This record gives sequence, C-alpha cells and structure tokens, in this order.
Amino acid sequence: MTDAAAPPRLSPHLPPTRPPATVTATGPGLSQRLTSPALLLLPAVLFLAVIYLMPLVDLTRISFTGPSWSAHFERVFATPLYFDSLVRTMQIAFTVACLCAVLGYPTALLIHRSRGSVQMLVAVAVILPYFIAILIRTYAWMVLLGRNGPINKLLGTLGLIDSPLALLFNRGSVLLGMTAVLLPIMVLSIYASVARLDQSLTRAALASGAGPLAVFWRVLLPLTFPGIGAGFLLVFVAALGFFITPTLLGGPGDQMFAMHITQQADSVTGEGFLQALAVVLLVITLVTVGIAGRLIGFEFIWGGGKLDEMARRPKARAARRSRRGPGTLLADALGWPLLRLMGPLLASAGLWTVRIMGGLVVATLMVPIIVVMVISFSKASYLTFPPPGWSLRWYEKFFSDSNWMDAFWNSLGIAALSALIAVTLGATAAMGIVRSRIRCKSALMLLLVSPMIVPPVVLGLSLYSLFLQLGLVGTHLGLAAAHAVGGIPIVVVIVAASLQAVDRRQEQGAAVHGAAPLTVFRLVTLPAIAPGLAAAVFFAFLHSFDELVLSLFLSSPRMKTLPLMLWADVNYQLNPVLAVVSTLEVLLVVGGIILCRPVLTRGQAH
Amino acid sequence: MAQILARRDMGAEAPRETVTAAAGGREVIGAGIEIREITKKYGAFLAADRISLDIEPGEFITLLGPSGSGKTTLLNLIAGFHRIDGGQILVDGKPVQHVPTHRRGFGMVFQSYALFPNMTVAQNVGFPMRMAGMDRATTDRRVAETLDMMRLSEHAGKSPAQMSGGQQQRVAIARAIVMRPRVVLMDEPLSALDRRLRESIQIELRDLHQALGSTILFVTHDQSEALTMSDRIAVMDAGHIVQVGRPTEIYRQPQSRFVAGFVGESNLIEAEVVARREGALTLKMPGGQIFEAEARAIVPGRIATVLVRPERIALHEAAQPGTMPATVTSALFLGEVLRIEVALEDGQTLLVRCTDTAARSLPRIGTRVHVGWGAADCWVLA
Amino acid sequence: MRAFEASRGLVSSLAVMSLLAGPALAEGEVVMQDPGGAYGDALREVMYDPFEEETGIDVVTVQEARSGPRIKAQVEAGKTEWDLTFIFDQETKLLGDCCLSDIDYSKLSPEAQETLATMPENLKRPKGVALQVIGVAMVYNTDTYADDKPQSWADFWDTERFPGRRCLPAWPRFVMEAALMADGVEKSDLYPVDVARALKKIEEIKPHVSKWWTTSAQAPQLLLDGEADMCMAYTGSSSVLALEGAPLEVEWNQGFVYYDFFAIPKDAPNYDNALKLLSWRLDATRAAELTSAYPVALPSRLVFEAADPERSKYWANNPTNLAKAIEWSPDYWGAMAESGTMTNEEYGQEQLNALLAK
Repeated sequence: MTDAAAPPRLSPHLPPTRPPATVTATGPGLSQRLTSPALLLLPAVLFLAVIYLMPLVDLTRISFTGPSWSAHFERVFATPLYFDSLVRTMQIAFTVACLCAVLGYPTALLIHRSRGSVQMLVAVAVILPYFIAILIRTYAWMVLLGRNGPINKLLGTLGLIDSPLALLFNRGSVLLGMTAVLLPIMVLSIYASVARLDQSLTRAALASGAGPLAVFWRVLLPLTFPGIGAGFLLVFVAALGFFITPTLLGGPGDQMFAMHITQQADSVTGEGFLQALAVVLLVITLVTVGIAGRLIGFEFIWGGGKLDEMARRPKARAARRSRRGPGTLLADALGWPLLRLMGPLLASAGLWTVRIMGGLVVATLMVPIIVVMVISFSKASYLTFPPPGWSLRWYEKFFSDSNWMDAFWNSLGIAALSALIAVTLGATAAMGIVRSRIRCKSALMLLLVSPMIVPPVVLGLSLYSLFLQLGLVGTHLGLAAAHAVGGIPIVVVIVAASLQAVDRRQEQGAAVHGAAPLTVFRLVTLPAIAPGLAAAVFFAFLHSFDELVLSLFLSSPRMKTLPLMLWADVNYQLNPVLAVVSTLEVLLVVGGIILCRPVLTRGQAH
Repeated sequence: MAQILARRDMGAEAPRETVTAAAGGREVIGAGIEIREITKKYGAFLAADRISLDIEPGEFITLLGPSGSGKTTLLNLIAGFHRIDGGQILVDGKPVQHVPTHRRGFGMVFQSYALFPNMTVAQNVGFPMRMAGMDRATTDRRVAETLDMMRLSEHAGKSPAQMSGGQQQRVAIARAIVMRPRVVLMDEPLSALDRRLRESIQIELRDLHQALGSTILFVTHDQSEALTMSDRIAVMDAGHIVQVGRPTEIYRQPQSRFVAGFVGESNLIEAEVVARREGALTLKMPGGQIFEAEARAIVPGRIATVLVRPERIALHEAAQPGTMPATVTSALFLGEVLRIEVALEDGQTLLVRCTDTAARSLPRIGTRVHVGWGAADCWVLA
Repeated sequence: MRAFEASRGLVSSLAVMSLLAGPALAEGEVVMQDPGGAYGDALREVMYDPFEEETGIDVVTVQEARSGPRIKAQVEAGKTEWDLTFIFDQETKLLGDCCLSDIDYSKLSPEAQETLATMPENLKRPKGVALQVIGVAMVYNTDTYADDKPQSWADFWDTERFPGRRCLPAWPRFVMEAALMADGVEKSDLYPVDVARALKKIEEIKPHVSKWWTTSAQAPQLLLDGEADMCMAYTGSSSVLALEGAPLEVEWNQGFVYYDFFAIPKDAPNYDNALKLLSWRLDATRAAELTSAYPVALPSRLVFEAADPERSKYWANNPTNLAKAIEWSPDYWGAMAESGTMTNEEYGQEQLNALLAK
C-alpha cells in the first residue's frame, strides 16, 4: 500500500499537469473501483457465460423436454446399449489412465534423471506428440497397425506370421491408441512433481540405508503421488469424452459414450434424447472432477499452480496426516515384505527398468509419427511400408488441390482469429486473477479453466443450436470463438503462471520512481511476461488449428478446416495425402517449439 | 568444551595422539577413512583432482572452502552419490567406491534438512532403522532415545512442515545418528539457520560428537564454524585440498596466501629481507619501515610475504619503539571489537582489530596513530 | 440478408466481416449435398463444372453422408444452408411437412420433363424426386471364390462352404433382411422384420465379420486390402472397381434396390438455382454420361437406353438385376416403432449396436 501511495511528486520527470489527487485518493472511491484489476476478468467471464455456460444450460433444459422430464434419462439408463456403453467407457478410461500412469512414471523419471542429448530426445519425444493433433496421431496408429503397415510387414519378413494379423479395430488397438495419445499429459504431470522434488530427499533416503527400491516406494512414490493423481484424473476425464480415437481404431464392441452422441446427432427423432446423453456424460465428468477437486484440490486441472488464496489450505491437511494414515499402513503391510523379497536384486535393476520402459514409451510415441512422415514421400498410391519408391507427388497433390488449400487457409485464418480472441480475453483475465484481491477467485479460476474438462462432443452439440440462431455456423468468427472457449484456459494458465513469476518489487520500484500504472505495465510487466504471452499465442493457435470435434458440429458447406478434411478422408480411405498433412503439421509444431524454446527452457530453469 | 580447548593449545606435533586424547574416556565407534587420489570430472571440469585425505576414526573433520571449491563434491563422492572417476575410498581399510550409498552405512545431514514430508518426525528418525530391517520394538526404543537426546520428544508425532528450521535440522541430525553410524556426513547443515541458532546447534553437535564417537565429516564455507567445531580442517580450493591441519594451525600458520585470506581476516605484507638471523628475519617494507619477524619452517627468498593477523597489531596514540606512523581511514564499532583501517605513509593499508575496553574510544577518521607488532606476531608465508 | 445481419450488432457484423474475409461469395450459387469419394469427383466433372460454366451459378458441395437431421436442425433454427440434398425414401415423408419445400415441377426444363415422364409416379413426389437408384448387394473377391461362387445370403452365412472373412454395414437396414433370408425367410415375408430372429442370425455371422463399415467406400476397400473376402456393399462403388479390373464381382440375387430422393429444404436460400441444377441433372443425356464415370443411374428408361451396356449391366435398375433383387421397404424402416418414441430404423440400430457391442 505504501508503494502505491508513494508520491510521484518525488520524481523529477513528473509532468506538472498530473493531478496528485488521483494518486493519493483516500478510500475505495469510484475511480479506484473502476481501475480495480478485478474488472479485467469481466470480458472473459462474459464471453464464457454467453458462448459456453449458456449453451450448456440450454442443453440441459432440452434434455428434460419429453413425455416426462425424466423420459430421456430413463431411456439412457434402461437401454442396455447405452448403459453398457457407459460402463464400458468408464472401464476404458480407467484402464487407459492406469496404463498411462504405469508407463508415464518411468518416462518422467527418465527425463528427470538423464542428461544432455538423452534428456533432450526423451523430452522431445514426449512434448512433440503433446502438440500434434489427436486425429493425426490416431491416423498414424492406423497406418502402423494396418494390414500392410510396418508391424505386419516386419513380422512377415521375420517369418513369424504367414498372413497379416488383424491388429486394428479391437479393444487392444483402442487402448493402445488412447494410451499413446494421452500419455504425454501423464508424463508432463508426473515430471512436474518429480522435478519439484528436493533432490536431497532421495539422497537422504539413500544415505539412510534405503536401496533404490525402498527409495522409490517410501519416498519418491508417496511424494510424487499428487502428480500421478493429477495426471491420472486428467487422463481419465479426457478419456471419458474421447471420440476420435475409439471411432477410428475400435470395432463395434468398443463403442464409447461420446460416439453415441455423434450417432444420435444423425437421427431425426433424437432431439432431447441426444441432449440427455450429452448431459449424462457431462455430469459424470463434472462429478469425477468435483470429487477429485475436493480430495486433492482443483489445482490439478491447471497443473498445480496454486493461487495465494488456496495456498493456505494444505497446512491444515498436513496436521491431519500426523497420525499413521491408511496409505502408510498399506505401504507397510503390502510394500515392505515385497521390497524385502526384491532386496537382493541388483541395484542397477531399477535403473534398467526405468531405461527400458522409458525407451519403449519414447519409441511408442515417436515411431508412428516417423512412419507417417516417411510414408508422405511414398510413390505408391496406397499405404504401404516401407514405400516401394520415393516421390513428392502427394505434396504436389496437396498443394495443387484447391479443396485442401482452401481448408488450409481456412484453418490458418480461424486459428489466428481464435488465438487473438483467446489471448486478449485470457491474458486480461489472468491479470485479473493474479492481481485482484476478490474473494471468489478460485471459483472464477475454475470457471476460466473448466472448458478444459468439458467433453468437446458435449460442447459442440450445445454450441450448435446457439450458433444456428446467431448465424455463426460455418463462419470464421463462429469457429474461432468456439475454439477460443478451449483456448482461453490454456492462455489463462500460461499467463497467470508467468505473471506470478514477475517480481512485484520491480513493478513497485518503477511506481516509486514515477511510472503510472500503464507505464509500469508496458515497461516492466509486459517484457517480463512477453515470453509467456508468446507461448500462449502459439498454444491457442495450435489448439484451434488442431480442433476437430467442435468443428464437426459447427462447420458448414462453405468452410472446411484441415482437420475436417482429414477426418472425412480418414473415414473414407487412408491415402498418402493424409500423411502429407500430418508431416506439415509436425513441421509446424516443431517450428513453433523451436520459436518458443527460449520460453520453455526459461520455464524449466525456474 | 574445556577439554577441546585444552587440546587445541597443545601445539603442532602428533595429530594422532591428539585424536586419541580427544577420544579419551569414551568409546570410539567411528571409522577411519582414507581417500586416495580420487578424481571426478564433469565433462571437462575437474571437480576433484587427485584428492587424498586421511581421516582418523572418531575425528571431527571439516572440509572448508568457498563455493565451487569441490568440498560438496568430495562429500558426495564419499557418500556414493556419484561414481568416482579414479582413485580409492577406504573405510576402515576396505575399499567402498563400488558399494552403493545405501550399503555404506553412513548417516547424513543436508543443508535443506531433506526430511520426508510424508512422514512424521518419529517416522523420519526411524527410517534408517526400518531400512536396516530392525524390528518395530527396537526401532521405537531407539527413536525415542535419539529424539530424547536431541530434545525433540514432544515433537515425535508432528509433520516436519509444522516445525521451525532449527527443529527440522535437529530432526535431520537425529535421523543421521539414530543408527549410531560409524561415519556421519554433514553438508552445510547449519547454513540455512540464523546466527544464534547456528551457534547453539554448533555446541550441540560438538557434544553429540563427544557422546557418539562417530567420525564426522562436516562441510562448510563458514570459517568461524570450521574453527569452532573441528578437530581438523581441510581447506579446499579449485578441486584440491590446499591445507589440512588443526584449527590453530590453519589460522596461525597458513601455508598459502589463499588459506591466509580465506580463514580469518589478514594483513599480507610484502617486504624485503634485509637481514637473516637464526629463527628471525629483519624486513623492510616498501615505505622503508623496518620490522622483525620470526621465521620457522619457511626460509624466504629476497622478498617475503608476511601475515599479520589484525588482532595482533597494536594501536598506540603516541610513537613507541618499533611502531610506525599511520592515519585512520575507517573505524567501525562491531560490539566486542573495534575494526579500524589505517594507511601507512607509503599508502599500504592495514586492518587492526582491538577489543573494546573502557579506556578506548573509536578514533576519528584522519587521526594520526602509531601501529606496531612483535616478531612473534608475524607468520612468514613465502 | 447481409444487411439484416449487420444490423444485429457487433457480433453479427464481425461474422459478416469474417465471411467476407473468407472465400468470396459468388453472385449466384447453389449449395448441394455431396456423397464425396469417386462419385463426388464424377459429379463435379460431369455435372457441376459444365453447369457452372453455362449458368454462371457456383455449385458449392457439402460432403455429408446423411442430411436428414441437419436439415431438420437448420430449418427449425430458421437458418437453412442447403439448397439441394439427397435424403432417404422414408425421409421424404418424415421430414416432408416440417422441413422440405414443394418441388415446382412446372419450372423444370423441357429435357427434365421428358425424363420425368418416363419415371414411375411414386418416384416423383411433391417433396422429393428420385435421382438415383441405389443397389446394395453381395460383393465378393473372385480370387478367393474362383470356382464355387456364393449366390445368396445363405451362402454368405455359410462359413464352412465359403470360408473367409466378411464385412457388413453397421446398419439394421439390409443386414436384418439379409439375415432373415439366410435364415430361410421368403422374400415376400420379410416385412415387418422379425428383429429378434434377425439379431439371432446376425450373431452367428458376427465372429466372421472383420469390419462393420459405415461409409460406402469402405467395403470395396476392405475387399481390395484383403481385410474381407465377401461383403454386403454398395453396387455402385464396387462396380467401378470391377470395371477397372479389380477381382470383384457383384451378385445381384437377393440384392436390395432403393432410391435416393432429391429434396429442397424449406427456406432454401437459392430455391430457383436448386431447380436449375435439378433440371440439369434430370437431363437424360447428361445423366447417362455421368453413369459412364460412376455407375449410379437415374431411374429412367431413357438413361438406361442411352448408356453403355457394358456398364449398365451393373445398374440397379437393369431389368435383369431388378428381377433377382428384392424390393426393399423404406416405409417399414421409416415407420414408428412400437414404443412410439423412435422409428423402426432407430430401434433396429439400437438393437444392432447392442449386439455388436457384446
């Protein structure tokens, strides 16, 4: 407070016209209220209220219209098809989350422990796929697992099989594909908690006579558990609403709940029931997140960056934990005898487990992408690996096909517009969240990041009717706004994090020396968060550029985006043009990451 | 404490006997450690360059050096956190360089305390016992004993996050000694604490060392801490041990300008040797002032570097035999001592420390004074 | 209309701006639903490009397999985007009142009138006109079944005599009828479909089905890739490949014939242009030309006579084929199911999905 009141009169540069009264105003007058940082939240909150909350409320309303208010819901739960699918969806999501945890942990450890080029390789293998569209990664798996794909070819060449195996369209391929698609989320979540860990803790355990296994079981695992939990939930929730991967990789026995929603959208009499399906999926997602939030704090949604308002809570929790918790009991009863048995194992066994599993994961993440990139240079007109010859004909076809090029420019324009909306609204909202002292901060933050967890199928369905009324279906602005709903959380999280890293004393220093608030922002704050802003722009752009599910609902004849073209072609026929598009996307992402690398590495250093 | 102080004054001879004397009347469980020419490289950087050091059983030895001198690296190598690139580490005569950390049986205390936040104080302290496969009853008994020894009994059920820094570090110490290890490694354990707390734990640690009889290898960059606590100090610089000796030796008889400068405040005077006698030199400063210095082991060439500690310089208001005139350029009151800088007539500055007494007042800047020291107050470096 | 939108405030005017920033709107246009794939390419080449050249009206194509629900949503929201769509037979009735415009037959061109005169009355409805006759039949790999050729759905189900993998559409229509025929039901007794019996029979073949396909291009692709040896498939896309020399053959016995109807949604933005395009496509000469690029025919004698017999042997309305095929009942599938909340088709879909998910 004293700094704000520090009179700029001391400054020799003070323009004589500046009225000192505004600076030393007493009490929260109107002018002060109008300049309150909390107001910065308004645009984003209004935007989300109209283009996100309102349609969801309307969706819920429609789901209750029918012969009786519950008729549609009764059908959802009474028809074995839907109920079974619900159960199956939960099973698949749970399995995928477990697989991700088991595979993600060694990978995160590998990134943390390796150095130099190995670390770089593993980190890139995880981060690169994270930014590549789910559709493209799923397509890559279709190529990899296909009848003429590299796996079947390799097994055939080795003489292990006579005829190609049916690797696609079964539960295994769905689980594999979804795990591969969602694994980066898990790895990054666990890595964050491992990296945050004081390294001397593991050393202390070692010095206390704990072998590597005991260090893992007693120290590493319990302390990184929040990271695993957060990753597990993020993966589970994302998997609940998954649609693209199971559609492309699954058989009829692998129908997931979100797929029923898109199928029902094809039914003439589906009105009401369709919305009921969406509401059920939404409620399950929200309940899961709600319970998890109560247990481990809602910070897991945005990756653990605690707000000052929330920072106080864990202390009370720590006190509660002082007695021997059930977790400790379990660890003692189960883990300890096990560890004693494994004690004689070589000390390097753990190290090799990490290396082998981590290596396997890296291969799983990278190989499909590499295969697709190779195939894009194929001479053949069908998908086969290795390609019988090399040519650039598919690149020529892509660049000469007006449909593809139109879609490309559409995507580019929409993504740019969407990034603009998301960054403008998201960055101001982040300023509001970090800098204001309002009470319902955590609730607002939750609102701002909640689009991350709402299944896109549900969001797309709810937006369709609103957009029809507003005449936004199939417009650049409409799609950009819809994509911005998902872009805002990304921007808010990144910008809030970089704002929190800004040293308030620098700003106070500038203010003391006579800089007006806007000048302080321009000269001190903006340069400090500029890298964060740049990253936010890139990620918001990419989010829109890759978005498929919302676009499926909201596009129109006149306007196709690149993912929509891909989706149509993937469903029709796998051809090498898709590989070309995938390769171009990979190049775009790599280019973006290289541009953003100063930011990312800076983040790591902190 | 008296015992320690007495021992310190015993002089330069026979360190082995010194240790035996230090251990007098108690059981020495500590192991001897021999470090033979160990080397550690990080890329092209030599973090440890053929370091050798013999540590006696039950000794309290301190690795002292500025940051980056390699002292923590050496400690980590002994702990087994990193593989050594060459050389040998012997504990009680047995090589341990291929033994993984958790089988070396050491205790260790870290600067950041490194308490497991997911365990209570008692669980933290009991951790090494459980790892060693002790049954619960023994563990509980020993934990209780150790907590009692560290005056932590009432905190047993707390989580580390609920305790102050000093308490946390005492828990960390309790964890390090609960197994009564032969060797305890301490990596700057007190540097995160404030001065008062630091001093009280310093005393506690010394007493603990007496009671336990473990060998303690202590790393610090704080020279006064090193001087207070150690049986011997190994001063490190740029990956080398530059001098090993008892605290008095390190302070009074540094072997290099580096040690002289790093341990305590010092006046290093370059002077021309004008006459040599048995055990003494007559030296002439660049400004022409003449003084006498005792020369023991080192016989310098034509130019000698002489160390005179600030507290050995006497300050007089009037000229006396063997003093030289000077002007006060700075005077600070530090409490029990006064810290005064003076400039000789040739411009050479000297630092003087004198105790605060009733008779003395802080001289004004510019005051003309006379400074002098005896031949025994000089230590000829080179 | 643009001016109206602009008056609605900032959001809409921004929308218009972004529209203008996008691909430029032509002076006149017609938005046409498009099946995509090879058929879409043929339409573009034979029909739309010359049409654009002659009339100056741009044909905007929308790739969409099924338009019914979208038409309904668009019309109900008062935002019709499409001018000309193809819908299922039953949808001309289901959507007729709510969502489709009457077709003003008097405004069609003389050539179109001529073609229409040769078509059965049932295919010229107020809300829709049949523009293509579609066949769904058994298609098999001639390399796999070189000597003993499958000839009926009973053969399709007989995995001992005809070992190999199958593929079927993931729809109740056609599949249930085929299952019933395989189970011995006579052609004439198919409707109303005994869903329980059909499902039981489908369960038998299920383990041998490598893929339940959803888009027309998939089935021939699966046959060519060797993922399946015998499929229920669209005759159109399969016969293209057969004509090109692929080892495929279409068995018309117990095949299904139905019609796609072209309809104009209510409040279509370019109603007159839609009629012009309709006239263009009803021109018998041009329709025949289209079939040489893609063998899906206009159900008119004139077109059949104008076409290359080498190709027309694959047509669904070839009398030889029609004699073997069964007349599929869109009315049954479009009727409301017993529950009253959904159509028979939707009910069948739900049941089939449940079976497939097991």
